[in-house]
Amino acid sequence: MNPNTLQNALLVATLDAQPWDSLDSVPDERRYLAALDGTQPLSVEEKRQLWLSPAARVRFFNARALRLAEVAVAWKRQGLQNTGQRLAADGGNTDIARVRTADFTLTLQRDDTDPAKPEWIMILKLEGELRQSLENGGFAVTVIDSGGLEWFHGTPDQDGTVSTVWSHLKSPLDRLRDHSITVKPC
Amino acid sequence: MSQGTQAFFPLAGGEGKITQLRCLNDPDPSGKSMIAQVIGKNSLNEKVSNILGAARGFSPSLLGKHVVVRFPDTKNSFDGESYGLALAIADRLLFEGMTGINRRIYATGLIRESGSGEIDAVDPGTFLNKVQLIAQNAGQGDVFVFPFDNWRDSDPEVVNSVKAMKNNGVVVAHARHMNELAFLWAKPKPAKEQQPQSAFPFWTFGSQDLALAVASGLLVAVLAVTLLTNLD
Repeated sequence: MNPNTLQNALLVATLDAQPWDSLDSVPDERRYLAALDGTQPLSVEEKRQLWLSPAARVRFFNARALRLAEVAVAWKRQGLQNTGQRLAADGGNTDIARVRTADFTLTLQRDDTDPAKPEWIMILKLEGELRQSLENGGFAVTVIDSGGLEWFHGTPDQDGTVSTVWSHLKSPLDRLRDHSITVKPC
Repeated sequence: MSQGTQAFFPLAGGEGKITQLRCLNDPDPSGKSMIAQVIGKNSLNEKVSNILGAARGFSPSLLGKHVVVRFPDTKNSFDGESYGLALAIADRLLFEGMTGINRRIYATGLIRESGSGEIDAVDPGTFLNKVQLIAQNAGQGDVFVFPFDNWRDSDPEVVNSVKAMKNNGVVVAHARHMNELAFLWAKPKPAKEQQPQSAFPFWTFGSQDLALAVASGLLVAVLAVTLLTNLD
């Protein structure tokens, strides 16, 4: 187990062991919505409360889920294209595949540097208003296919890019043959 | 086949280990403000781009080329920048089209970010450990490259490890500047083109053959005239 995984497991166990407190003793969702919007950042005391109070975390995650739903609705209203399919034009290419819409490009590149262990690199590049809304909300992004498989998630860099390596058993090209790709805030 | 280039470098922390990095062509460079996209490690994009920008300084044709960089064996982040020389070598090999080479290139060294291809020493306190790690892993035909300044200041143990590597057939080189490493990306010279064999070798002459025949004839004539003159 790598140190990060170990630290996360320890953190989860610690937080799970905290006794339940009362929703009445913590701020309501509106307070956390204001914090998520950046209009009213959390004080040091309120941050400490988030770490110590399960009830406060429930309220915080409710607010966050609400904000994510609002972003999804806003994307739909704006007509942003957060779902796409593999481009037919590169259907014959076995080294590079792309899913491209007006608002994102997902590029898959086969890495054959070690021919005994080929891997697929994935680079998601977000564009325009879709990228802007994620940046404004401080959200990460997740990539899911229409079969319900989460390909990866991450926080975009300053160019609106997230990258990783394919970690599932089946080839991503096989998944792309049967499924579309959707980008969502998370 | 989408092949990249790779180089190996030592991580000296803890028990230490040899790890690798790879460079591949970036298939979608447009809209990226930095020349390097480090897969899964966004936080390294800027640092790696700065290192590559400095390392390429002596080669203007490479300055703006975008590259995808991977650290496939390294899930966690790591301290230090002694991977810089390995990175610069893999990058240069990529753009020289030197993919698919069998020998392993091991390197440790810093690329001077304010410079233009200069190679700086790694921490002398960890250098011996790094050399020994490489000595345990490198074999016949592999290459080990490190900064000249580390060699100049090296202690006997480093010298002994380097000698052992050389005895095992490892090519060892130290350098002050990237352009001293051009032997790594020198392409083998094409075999000399052979003259086509003639179907009629006895009476088909090339221009060189004709010149040789004329010169020989002249020499014989001069000798004959000299001989006849002397007989008188």
